[in-house]
Amino acid sequence: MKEAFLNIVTSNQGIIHKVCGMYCDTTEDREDLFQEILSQLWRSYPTFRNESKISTWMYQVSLNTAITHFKKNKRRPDRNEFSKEFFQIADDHYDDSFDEQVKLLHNAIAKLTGIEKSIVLLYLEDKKYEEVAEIIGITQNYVRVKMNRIKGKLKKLMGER
Amino acid sequence: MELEELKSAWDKISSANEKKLQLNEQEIQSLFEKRTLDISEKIGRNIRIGMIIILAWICLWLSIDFIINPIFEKYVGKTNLSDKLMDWTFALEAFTYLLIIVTIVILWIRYNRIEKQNIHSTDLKSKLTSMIQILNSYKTMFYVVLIIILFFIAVTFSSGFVAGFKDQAIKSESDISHYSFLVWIFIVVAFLLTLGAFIAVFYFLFNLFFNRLYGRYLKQLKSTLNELDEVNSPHD
Repeated sequence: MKEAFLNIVTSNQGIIHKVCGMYCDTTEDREDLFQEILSQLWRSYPTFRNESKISTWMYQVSLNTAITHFKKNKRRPDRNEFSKEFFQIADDHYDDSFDEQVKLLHNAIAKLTGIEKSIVLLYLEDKKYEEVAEIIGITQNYVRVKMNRIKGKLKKLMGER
Repeated sequence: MELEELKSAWDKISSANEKKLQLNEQEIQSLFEKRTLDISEKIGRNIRIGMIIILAWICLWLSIDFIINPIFEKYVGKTNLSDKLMDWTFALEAFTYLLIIVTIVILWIRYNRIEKQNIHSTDLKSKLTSMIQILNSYKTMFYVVLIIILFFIAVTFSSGFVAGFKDQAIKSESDISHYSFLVWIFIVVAFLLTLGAFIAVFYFLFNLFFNRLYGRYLKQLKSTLNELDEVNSPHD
């Protein structure tokens, strides 16, 4: 069972990396969250019966864990700045305007609540409202309402820059 | 910047990170082996540690009272405190420990019930609710134990103060029945201030400790649950 589990996690690890990148400020936090997600996935693995897609189950557990994650009280240089390393890729491969876009993106996302971040992540991942609702455990109507609010909030946040 | 641009920025970051952060199965396994406890498991561990500490403390207290003290008294002599006071303090201390144990056991039963109900839940609302219930129970237990300890401190401090005061009066051969009303007021106020300051500092430190550790987190969980409950709000 453990081998099958590790196989699934290895093939779908991108989901965990994205969730960690979305919710964590530092590399240390990201590693902590990554480990906690692994642990929660393992705990819920016996109840996973292929009734839903593997990706849906992994998003469900990963996002639940990220939203309820307990961050240790440590002094951090700047809590409003979003995860550096996860978004640092822009410096290596892309031009200044892209770098600016990325800064705008992560600074805006950093100001969202835990649930809003999960909806944005799934929106950015092109998930349908139906799947977003299934993953977060809310109604499709609520996803629609919430998404409209978030879009407004993001536009406002990005417009402030 | 429009939302579509935001989406394209995210796609570029994601695909670049897919290669950059990719771990092989062995690396994932090694992270998996080192996996840490989540907050609920940590609270479960804290309850067990709390129980071990209180049981160890009771063993220490009993061994001091029944083994060390009798040996000590052989060489130094008995304390000035009366047997009645000593018996009363012993009974009070035993009652305090019993109350603490009962509180911890009640929390342990409650904790296990909540854990069993939601251990495999992938539903966010159930998870949030169970975590809030666990933290609230833990908080209640923490404050109940704190109040029991403060009550014990207040009572033992008061009895110690009265016994010491009487002892001093006997030693100095002063007749306390001749003390004026003002002197008594001064003694009572001084006693209450000392006791109050001691209890306030003790309470403040423990309260600060709990709030620093879990206060902000509990608030965050409650606000997330409220946000999720907005779905039932007529304003939506």
